[in-house]
Amino acid sequence: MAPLEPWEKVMVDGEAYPETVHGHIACVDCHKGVQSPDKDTAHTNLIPNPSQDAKTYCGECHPDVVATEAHSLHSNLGGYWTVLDERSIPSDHPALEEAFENHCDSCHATCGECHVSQPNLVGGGLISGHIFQKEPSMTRNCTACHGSRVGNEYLGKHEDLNADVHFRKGRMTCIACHQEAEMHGDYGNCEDCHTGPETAVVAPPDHRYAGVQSPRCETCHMNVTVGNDGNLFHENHGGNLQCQVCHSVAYTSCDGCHVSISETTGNPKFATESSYLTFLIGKNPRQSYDRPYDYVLLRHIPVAETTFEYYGDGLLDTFSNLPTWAYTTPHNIQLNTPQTETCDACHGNPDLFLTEEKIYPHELEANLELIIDAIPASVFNKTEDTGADATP
Amino acid sequence: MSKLKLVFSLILISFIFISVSGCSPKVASASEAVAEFAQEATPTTAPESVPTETDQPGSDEAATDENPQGDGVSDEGLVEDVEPDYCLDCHSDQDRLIAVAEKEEAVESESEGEG
Repeated sequence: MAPLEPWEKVMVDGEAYPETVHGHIACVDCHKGVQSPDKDTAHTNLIPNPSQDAKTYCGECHPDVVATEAHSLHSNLGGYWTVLDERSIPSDHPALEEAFENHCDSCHATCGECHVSQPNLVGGGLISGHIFQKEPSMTRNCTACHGSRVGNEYLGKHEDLNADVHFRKGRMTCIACHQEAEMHGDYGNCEDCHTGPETAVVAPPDHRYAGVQSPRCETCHMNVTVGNDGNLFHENHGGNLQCQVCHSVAYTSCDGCHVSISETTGNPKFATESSYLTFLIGKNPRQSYDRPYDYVLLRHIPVAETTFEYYGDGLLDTFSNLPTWAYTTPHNIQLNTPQTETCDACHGNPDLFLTEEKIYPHELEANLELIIDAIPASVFNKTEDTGADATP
Repeated sequence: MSKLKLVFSLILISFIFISVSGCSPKVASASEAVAEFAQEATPTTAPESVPTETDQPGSDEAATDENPQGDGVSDEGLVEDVEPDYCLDCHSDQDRLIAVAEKEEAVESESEGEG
């Protein structure tokens, strides 16, 4: 995404914007400042991004959205603390909070960073002359932040790997699957539809893979859920394989992210040791009612035991409480993949499975539970003795 | 004959009364519409195209709440009570923005690897 010139970032469409609903609100009502022809005077006490205080500036007209906004992971960044809490002890938290503020907090997205401007993380700037967009732009909002993995996979930017079929054939943008309710933290309530004496409230998720699976492939591909589409793969593997196991191709893993503050500029910075394409099937680390699969795709996440060592030694005391190979949902779905060619594309093929020798020795303890017990035996080559189990 | 005249006069008066009553809501909605327009036009229109008090000296007396300006019928003796919107003025003028924009120092990322 090409950077915007400073003037472009603040250029308002003087003809079209005043005709919009938001254009009927005086600039100073939201941005404060002072009505003056002098720039410095006009910008006195200016609020560049009013929606940082969504309740005050958006809530008057959009009270329903603002009411649930606090549950949105885009807003509260809850997923970060869910894993940091698990990997650390409370006495480490002050130092981790400082690191979080310097390196992670900028991922927070306000209403405006999706609906009127580019995210601050990529330098901000109005997208369409301050005209509010009901639907965020895929490339200027969503993949502006989610670019290095999701964007590159979905748009087919890895050499020799096709773009996701939903984009390539369907021209679907992110919001086709990641809809308003998910983005706004409105995760619903069982009782909205299932009225009765029982009480069941869906707790807001504290992690991107917590709670109800949303989006879910079967929402659109309904015939696959009952295994009656005549597809032998679906009939045999039905609910025990995550869809992506068969319908994804290689995706990005990363190693060794370390954060620090630059001695020369004082700016926060990071260094990732490596990133590479992987495709590995392992046991489901997040098996639940909503993600019942036995086997899923796993990617190596960039966290290391020393990720925050700039802020203190041993801040991730309980690092091994969580695996470093994490549940993943690559955004490069294809109808046909190497795995769908034949049963033996996976059966009897150790290259596709997370096994002990593929795990760094110092991370073995954290990932033991994800290792496949035995490579599934070849279906066609019965004479080959792989010493393997016949499942999955 | 005079009796007939009296009856005719009564019918005529009734007809006039009904006609006037029937029309009165229309008058009310028209003034509401004008007020709405005036309210809508007030905060954000560009100042150059809008006549102001200084453009039309001596028009103070003519401006009343009941007769808001900008209805497009007649602007004689009326005044636009619209503040200039300096924000929109400047932020919709590319040349001015370029002229007053502060140069952003190109910050070279010190981070390494995939983010």
